[in-house]
Amino acid sequence: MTTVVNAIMAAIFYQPIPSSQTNDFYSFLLSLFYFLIFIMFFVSMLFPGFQLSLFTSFSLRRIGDKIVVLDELDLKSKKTLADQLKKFGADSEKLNEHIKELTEFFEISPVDRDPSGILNRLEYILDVARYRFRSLIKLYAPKVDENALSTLEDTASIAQVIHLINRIAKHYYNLAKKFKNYYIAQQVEFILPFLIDMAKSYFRALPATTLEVPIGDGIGPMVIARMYREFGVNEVKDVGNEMVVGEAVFQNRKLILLKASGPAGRVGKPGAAVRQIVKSMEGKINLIVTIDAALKLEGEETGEIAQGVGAAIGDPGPEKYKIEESALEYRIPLVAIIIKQGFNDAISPMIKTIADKADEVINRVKNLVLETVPEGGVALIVGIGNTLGVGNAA
Amino acid sequence: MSEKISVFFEQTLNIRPISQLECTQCKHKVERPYKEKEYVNKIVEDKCPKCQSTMYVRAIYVYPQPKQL
Repeated sequence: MTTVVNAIMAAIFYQPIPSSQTNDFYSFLLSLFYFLIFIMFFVSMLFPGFQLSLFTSFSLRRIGDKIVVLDELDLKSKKTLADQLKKFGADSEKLNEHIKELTEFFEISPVDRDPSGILNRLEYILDVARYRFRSLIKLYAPKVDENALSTLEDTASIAQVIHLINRIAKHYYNLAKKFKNYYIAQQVEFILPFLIDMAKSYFRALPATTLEVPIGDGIGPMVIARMYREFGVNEVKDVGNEMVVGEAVFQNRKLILLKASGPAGRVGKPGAAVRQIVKSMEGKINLIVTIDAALKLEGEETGEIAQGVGAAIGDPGPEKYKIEESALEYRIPLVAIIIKQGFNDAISPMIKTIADKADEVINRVKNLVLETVPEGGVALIVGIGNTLGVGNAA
Repeated sequence: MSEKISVFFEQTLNIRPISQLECTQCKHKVERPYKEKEYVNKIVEDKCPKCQSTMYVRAIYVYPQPKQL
């Protein structure tokens, strides 16, 4: 260090300082430096805004470094959507405009200050939004058929969600920047890793829609498809609302097996189908079983199976309500079987661990039917979830 | 683009799904790479290596990847 000080002094004064004086001089400089730091610390305490703005700018810089990941995910998902639209005859010149229109599409939730009839209004809004979204896709990709349209709708929805996450993160980042607000910046910094993780999870779903392979959420329909095969159900009936039903007999008990119509990416309206079936049979059903993927808690194992009571369905409300209402009207026991998985596994291509659980779920359903449905009775088994890559009859 | 996100894109976009086929007669199961337009319950052209009967797609899945970045 002495050599360095010597060199600096030599450069300044064009002559070296005698070595006997150098140590004293260095000690003096060091003391001065510490003294200045000490003074600055106390002075900065007189101006707390200065410290805060310093921390804010550090925080904003860290957010800025991370937020580019969301930009990349947004860009790549839009590119995938553009490729898919082009595959079905989209106009290359207006592609950017079309992508913007699709990814910025929104729906407004119904007013909840007067909750009476809110589920009907919500269902109506969701139906109209879906109809409008599909019409737009059809308009931009004129060569798309009905099956491919459902899958393309999934791709567009994923791009839309990733774009929304990016927009929200950027909104708060820019807000913190604009007002130099430390507290907003901190909140964005805390939540950003979760947003990035969520956006990555959605991004992982894209290859499933482009390749048309089942996703983790499709375990419910896959169980039903396997039951069709096991019980030799060769024909299924379209019951409307994008749902199909097949009938089988298991140890003198009738099984009505319901799922969304595959293999395109559909979830259908299981609630409406259940209501329709229960009404048509005047409630002469001994058991309703819903099978669905459910989010696991951290620490739980992927593919764990659990059984409970209620309707296992993760819709915004209307479909679940219809299932509960139908069960209640005729006092039909409502049993739920869930296959636990992380959010990431639920929306990305199905992993083997989850696919391997289908047989175990079928065994559980069989035991349940034997236990609760008398001979000659009827059980309605519903596979809830996206049926992408899962066909219908055997 | 950072290296981490490049690896993420590469791992995510280049998945290789597997089709698990089952013989309609002897229930023998085989795995092979997924072919385009295949879906669960679809009868495929592959023949059972044991009894030469027709096979169908029993499941389509991917093997869990090593922890992604």
